Amino acid sequence: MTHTQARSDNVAATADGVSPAISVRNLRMGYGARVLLDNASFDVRRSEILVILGGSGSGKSSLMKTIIGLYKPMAGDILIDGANIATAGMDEKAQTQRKLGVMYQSGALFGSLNVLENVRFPLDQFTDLALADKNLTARMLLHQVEMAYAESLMPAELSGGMLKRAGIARAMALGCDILLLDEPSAGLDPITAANLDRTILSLRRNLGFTFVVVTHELQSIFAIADRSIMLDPVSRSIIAAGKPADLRDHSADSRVRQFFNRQPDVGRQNTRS
Amino acid sequence: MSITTASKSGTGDDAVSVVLEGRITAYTAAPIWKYAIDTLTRNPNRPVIVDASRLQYVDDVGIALLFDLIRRDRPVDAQVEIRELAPNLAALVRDYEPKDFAAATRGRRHIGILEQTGRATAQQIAYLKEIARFLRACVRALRQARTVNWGDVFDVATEAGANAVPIVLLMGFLMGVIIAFEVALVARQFGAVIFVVNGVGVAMLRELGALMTAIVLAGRTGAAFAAQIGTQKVNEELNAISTFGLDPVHFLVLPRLLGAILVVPLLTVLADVVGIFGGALVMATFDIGFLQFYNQLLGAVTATDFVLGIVKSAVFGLTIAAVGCHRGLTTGAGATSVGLSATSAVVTSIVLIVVIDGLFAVFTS
Ligand SMILES: Nc1ncnc2c1ncn2[C@@H]1O[C@H](COP(=O)(O)OP(=O)(O)OP(=O)(O)O)[C@@H](O)[C@H]1O
Ligand SMILES: [Mg+2]
Repeated sequence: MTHTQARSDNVAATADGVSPAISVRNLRMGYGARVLLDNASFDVRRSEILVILGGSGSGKSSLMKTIIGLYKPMAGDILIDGANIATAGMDEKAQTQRKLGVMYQSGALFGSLNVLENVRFPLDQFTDLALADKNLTARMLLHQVEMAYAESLMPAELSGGMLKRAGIARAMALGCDILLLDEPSAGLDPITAANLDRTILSLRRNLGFTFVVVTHELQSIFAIADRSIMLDPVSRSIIAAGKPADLRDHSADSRVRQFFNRQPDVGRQNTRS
Repeated sequence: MSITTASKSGTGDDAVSVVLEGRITAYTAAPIWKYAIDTLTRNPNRPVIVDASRLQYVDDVGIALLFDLIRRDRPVDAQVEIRELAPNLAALVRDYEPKDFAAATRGRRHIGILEQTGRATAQQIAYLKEIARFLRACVRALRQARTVNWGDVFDVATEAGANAVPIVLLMGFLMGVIIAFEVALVARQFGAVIFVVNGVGVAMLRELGALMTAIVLAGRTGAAFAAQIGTQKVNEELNAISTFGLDPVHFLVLPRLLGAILVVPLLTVLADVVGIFGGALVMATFDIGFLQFYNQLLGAVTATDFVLGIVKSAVFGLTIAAVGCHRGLTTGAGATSVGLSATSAVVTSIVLIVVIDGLFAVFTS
């Protein structure tokens, strides 16, 4: 039971509350010759909800995929529970990745499985639970994201928001205490989005989960984020880090204030008043 | 992660006690869960007291376990009670209503053989209608062939034609060599080696050149057409094309049809030539020189044989492209159906190729 071993280490670290869940050090990443982010460093603390902000195309999804080890960074280190996923070998990387629950921007459900089977998939792969128990767990997760009624639908039969919600349920299935969600509430109606925020807060409060959330929804950012970091594709750096409310009110960077106050670019600002 | 049960004596209510302790996670829950539920089912008429005070860590699977313990329908005097559950965990368990999870899983509805037959027949009829409609659309599109985007046709011809040259050459050459060799071994016993030339010539030109090329192309290009168009359908690109007022058949199918009709005959010529060349090489080892081979060949085959093979190959090309495109356009939803489309494109076009070849044989002999 190597899994068990890895997880108890994981929780021991939670208990001491010192070591960060994810630690990104001097990261440079991009595609081919194109660098999206250079010399970026930040931590995700235990039981923290960190929101990654930035304009469309600024590299948020790419950063998330780099953190979870899908892309190799050009330089720098990414420590997850102290294990460097940037330099890890195949096995060590797989071990580390198993601690992460990930929801991709497009949901990334398996097309040949229905919704319930998708959510059950990680449980099927990694646990010895009885089928009825796995089904109950999966149904409870689907209930959390208000997808219980859709459990027997195939992914191709779902709407965009439903795909995302099923993806979130699947990300949570293995009880990973570090969850990375790429735009979970984009495309959801305000009520469902608010319920999702509540679920995230409840999991953090009651189970101590750590969240890295990419989102543009201002209301959601203010509702859930303990801290946020903002990526900027022009300077290829993190241009702001801190509490969203502080950034909105006190940031020295006009782009950051512009983002939080939802203002258009300067050229068009004159026409507003 | 251990669990103990003991009958409480002395209180008189004869309650069973279950102690949950340690960590209950996806990886550790299985035996605990089984044991706990077994305890509940073994004691249907006694109250159960679950002591949760020694739990250290619980994840969503653990929450599901706790919920599973209390959601069961039991007599009023045999309820399950979880004691000293940490308030944060209790809050999570309270999120769920037992009635929301009461319904048993609906099994797949059993379908009788009569219904199956009926459904399959209806499906086939619908499919035939579908094919007929598609063919009409193709014909309509071919009439507007002048307005086609020749750049697309050229791309198709490059991918399906030029890039397929090596494999077609290899197949054609080996066909010629194998036939010549096998037949020559037999013919030698009758002193009729020279007539092997006739066999190789007629077989390659009339049948094998076209047939082998078409089968290679069905696997290579038919599948590719189905997968490309199928993926575009799944990604709603087809819907986008339609809403621009463009006709997907004209836009996607026509270039492929034209490309395939153009390149399959050309590839067939190549296969014919290298096949006969392979045959000539083999015959040289049976003491039939190239010149003798050539003279014998001229006497054995006619222009009709060659033209027949080429005409057939054009029909095969049309079939491969039409079936591939049709399977692509009728792809269902999701990645799985793209795979199914590609597979069925290959199977359907190979079957059709063989059938058409048979029809040609019947009507031209
Ligand atoms: N697989 C890829 N290969 C090359 N470039 C890519 C790839 N994926 C993304 N990019 C580029 O990287 C940049 C960042 O893309 P990314 O998807 O990370 O943006 P994002 O911040 O998540 O945007 P959005 O908010 O729209 O989802 C984009 O400019 C994109 O062109
Ligand atoms: Mg993105």
